[in-house]
Amino acid sequence: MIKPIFSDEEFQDLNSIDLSKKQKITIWRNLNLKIKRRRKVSYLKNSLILLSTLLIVFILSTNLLNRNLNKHRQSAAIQKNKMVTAKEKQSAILKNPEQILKKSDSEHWELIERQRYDLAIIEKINTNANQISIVVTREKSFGGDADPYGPVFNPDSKTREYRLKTSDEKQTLYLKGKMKVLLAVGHYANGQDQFYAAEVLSYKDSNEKFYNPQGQLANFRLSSAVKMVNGELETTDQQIKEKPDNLNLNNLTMIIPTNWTKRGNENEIFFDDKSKQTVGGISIVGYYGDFSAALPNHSQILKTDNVEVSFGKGKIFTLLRDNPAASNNSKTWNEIHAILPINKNNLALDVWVQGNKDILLSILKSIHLK
Amino acid sequence: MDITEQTLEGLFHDYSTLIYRFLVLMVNSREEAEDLTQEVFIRAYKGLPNFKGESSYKTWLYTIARNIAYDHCRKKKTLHFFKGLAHLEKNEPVPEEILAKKEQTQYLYKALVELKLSYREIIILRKIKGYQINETAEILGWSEAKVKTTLHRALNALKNELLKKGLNSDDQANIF
Repeated sequence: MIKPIFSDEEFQDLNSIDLSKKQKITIWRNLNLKIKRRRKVSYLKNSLILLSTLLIVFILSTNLLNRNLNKHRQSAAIQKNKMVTAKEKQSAILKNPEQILKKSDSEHWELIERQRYDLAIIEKINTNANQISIVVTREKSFGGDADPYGPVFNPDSKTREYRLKTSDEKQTLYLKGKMKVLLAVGHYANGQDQFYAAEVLSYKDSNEKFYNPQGQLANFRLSSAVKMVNGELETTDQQIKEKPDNLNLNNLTMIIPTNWTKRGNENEIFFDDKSKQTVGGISIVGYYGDFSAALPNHSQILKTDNVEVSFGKGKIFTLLRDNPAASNNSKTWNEIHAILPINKNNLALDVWVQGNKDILLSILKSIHLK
Repeated sequence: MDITEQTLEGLFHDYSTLIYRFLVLMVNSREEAEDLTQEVFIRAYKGLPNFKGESSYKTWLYTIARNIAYDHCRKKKTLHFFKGLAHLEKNEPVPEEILAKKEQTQYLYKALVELKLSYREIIILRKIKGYQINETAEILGWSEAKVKTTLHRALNALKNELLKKGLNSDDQANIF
């Protein structure tokens, strides 16, 4: 057998290339230098990153701080402007008041009962000795615990005069004629007698906002449903317990039988027949829950029907009526009443006729509120 | 000196000659092999914190050396292409240690450095360094079958190269 030219040993001869000690030291030295240089570069790089991060954090914090500071300054400036505006308003009123009220005997008055809050227009200001009073036309009333249908909330006249309660003997009130004011109305006592009086809680300026007597935008709460926020009066409908305008019976139109005549006023209407006997009418009634509270006394419900008119749904009650026992009159008669709710204030129209339901239905068909 | 540097020093002490020899045969230049050895250990220094010990240090260092050799040859080829010096490496002197050996060994060296890199590395690892198939496969990241077939082709290529260098035709069948 021929011996192969290149055996494994001959291949391994190529592995004899050696790395001398000197070469090895040179490589190691260069290696170390490079590593040290790399470490320095890495250290510098890390330091630079850290420094940049810190710088960015610093810049961001400064910006944030400046922003907050600017916001604070702006809000302070706005606040200052508001105060200046309020002062200007006050001084504008002060320059041109119809009456400047300086003296009052109301310092020691004691409030006995708060009755309601009135939104009213000043008609006149009277100053007699130490007494100050204002004549106002009431626009709206709310708050208080009085019966919303009673006389306290529905005074005979819309125009009233109140003695004015001021906070001290020599308070200056910047009031003018035709100015709209919010009054706290109630019974007061001064140790000798009790009387009806009011305090001015705020006045409405030309910008349609309410200001308190100190000239600042009004912010207070009268009741759970009535409050003043930044001079705006906020109310919840259910709490405004004034008699709605549209319940004026003069605003009502209807067709009645030709042989009937109509008489009455804004609160009550009567229908008379040819012989001047009252055979029907319309009145404003209050009700709670069902309509039974709105029906007349001495009556017995014979029948109940539903009805719908131009301004809503209601009920028709066929009643058997009699006279009170004390009258010794045993006469009974039929009356048909239509109870027609007007709005959410538990008020309704009571339209009634004696005897004939068809006549009532034809009246109801033609009835309209202006 | 931190622990990475201590480890590096140990690795350099144990494997620098091994890596250097491999690189000389791969790049056919003692000077370049010196620089590349240095580069291998710098890369090892950078990679040590992430070394998971899934292979031995030796295998890991060979893998680094191999990658560096490939990068180096690629760069050199590009450089020579632009300079019009495509075969400059052929003029490199044969190392003294080889010159001191028999004429056949010098033939073998000259033929080896003419081979393409993949043939060169498989012959270095399997025939010159004498590593087992599985160890070679791990260094090169190949399958064992690929190691076997590539070695076969590489030896054929080497045989052809030796014939070109003037070995007589009678010896052809018995070169290996």
